Amino acid sequence: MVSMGVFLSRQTVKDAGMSALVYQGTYPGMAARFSHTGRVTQEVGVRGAFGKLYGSKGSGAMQSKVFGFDYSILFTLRKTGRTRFELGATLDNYLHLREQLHYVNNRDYYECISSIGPTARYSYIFSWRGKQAGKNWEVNTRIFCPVGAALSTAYSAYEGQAGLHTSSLRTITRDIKLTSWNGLNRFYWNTGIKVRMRKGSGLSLHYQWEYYRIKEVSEVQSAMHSLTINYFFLL
Amino acid sequence: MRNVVRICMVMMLFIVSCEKAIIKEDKQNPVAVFESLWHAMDTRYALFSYKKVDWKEAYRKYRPMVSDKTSTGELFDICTAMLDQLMDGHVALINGDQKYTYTGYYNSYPHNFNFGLLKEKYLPGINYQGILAYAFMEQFGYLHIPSFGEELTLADIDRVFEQLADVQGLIIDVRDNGGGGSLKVDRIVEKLIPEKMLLKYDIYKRGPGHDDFYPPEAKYLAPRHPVLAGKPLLILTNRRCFSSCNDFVLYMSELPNAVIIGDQTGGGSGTPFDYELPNGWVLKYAASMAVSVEGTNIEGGIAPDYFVSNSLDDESNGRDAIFKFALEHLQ
Repeated sequence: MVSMGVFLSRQTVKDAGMSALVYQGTYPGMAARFSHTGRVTQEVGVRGAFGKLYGSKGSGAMQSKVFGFDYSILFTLRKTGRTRFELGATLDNYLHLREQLHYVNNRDYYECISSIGPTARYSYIFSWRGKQAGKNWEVNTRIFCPVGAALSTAYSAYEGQAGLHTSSLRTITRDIKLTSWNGLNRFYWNTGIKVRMRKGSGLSLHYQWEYYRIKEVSEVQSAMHSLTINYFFLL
Repeated sequence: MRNVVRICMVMMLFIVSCEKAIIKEDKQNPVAVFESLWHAMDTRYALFSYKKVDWKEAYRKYRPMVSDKTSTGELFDICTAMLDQLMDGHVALINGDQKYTYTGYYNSYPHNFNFGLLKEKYLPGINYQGILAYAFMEQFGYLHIPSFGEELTLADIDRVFEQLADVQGLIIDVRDNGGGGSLKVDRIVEKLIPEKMLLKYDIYKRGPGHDDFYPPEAKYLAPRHPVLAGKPLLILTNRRCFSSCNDFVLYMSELPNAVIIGDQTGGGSGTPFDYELPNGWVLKYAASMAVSVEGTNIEGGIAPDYFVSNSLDDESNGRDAIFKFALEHLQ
């Protein structure tokens, strides 16, 4: 199954290496997801969004770009007529680029997080009576909480100050280090409802909250609410 | 089903309401702002040891002056008095239109530059390319570079040097040039050097300790259409030549065919970084320092080969002693 959609995000960022202020902003993005269900369910998702965030005081603003790529494998642990509970693992790759528009020399900041951990999903399938009769509805909710990660950050660590780092692939890959829950707290929750209209295609509406906190010498925190509308179909 | 929806709704409400508790804004009272400023400088500023400033002593002196009843204006004055001890033109505190920056590196010294007088008395046929002013004096050339900032474009640099390619010697006047971007400096220097050269070392802050630095990073430049390489170059300087202008003069001082004439430069070897304080004030600070190839810290400026200053007599009689000296030296 393929699903493609657009989303609107509300992001809050606090990067103590960059500023003592909290930055917030709302911006759009696009997402696509491919899933294959057999004995196990495998899913691959990509997403991207960009827009401006504004400081809680003063006139600070920054350009924020978020890119994600994830792979999940889920095993059905329990299945009844209407419900299904799956447990598995997710490898999530997340890149957050930020450019402080009012700074001169230290404008670029980034986090590149490649994390792995358990994921769980619960689904409930049902039908409405009356006008909506015959259409299959599904409510599902999913959580992901990584236990280990490969992490590369910019000015979140003082080490990043050397060389006026840009967020180039060379810089990001050079500074990768492995970390666990002590260095990175990350959590992701997605819940949604979808309706099959005809021949396996339909629409879905998802709410997602993802949060991370990187505990370096300076701390970076980001929380993002996203509301996604997807069109899905069978290949 | 209803239970699942209820749980999801409760979780959404919980997350939205808890987010402010998870990502907290820093306290914005005067004491917290002072502490944030002091701490940011303490862990990030690169020149405490070079400046021989006891930052903990500064805390002991100024912290008792701040309380929760301190007004915004008073807090700004206390913070800037503390920052003033560093005597660093790259240190600034900005609150909207209100800006503090250290100016002692030039305002206690003779200005030594009056461009209006120079044009009127010595260079009546001056030409302009963007902000660059250039003139021809028989076989010699004159180039005034007022800034290395955004207003100076690489295209203007290239065009001016095309015009000056055939001169037999060039006076490069960087008086009153307060700096800008190193890219512009590099483009000009690439036209003046005969071969790849080591020009300086940048030393960046590594950790929160005052002397936690990365190993020095060597700065090399190679020639690029070196139209004036090897020809006599006379660099005119004053105390207002600061930051990347200071770098330019350092690079020129490495050339055997270049002579520095005028007053000592204003210095400013560090790279200024920005940081926002909890109340929205912007703090600027030097996150690095630079040393010459010989290992001399250039934060305090570069001494000229020929120290020349405009006397009161020169000014009252409409003379530019520095330019006059350079012209005579060239001829």
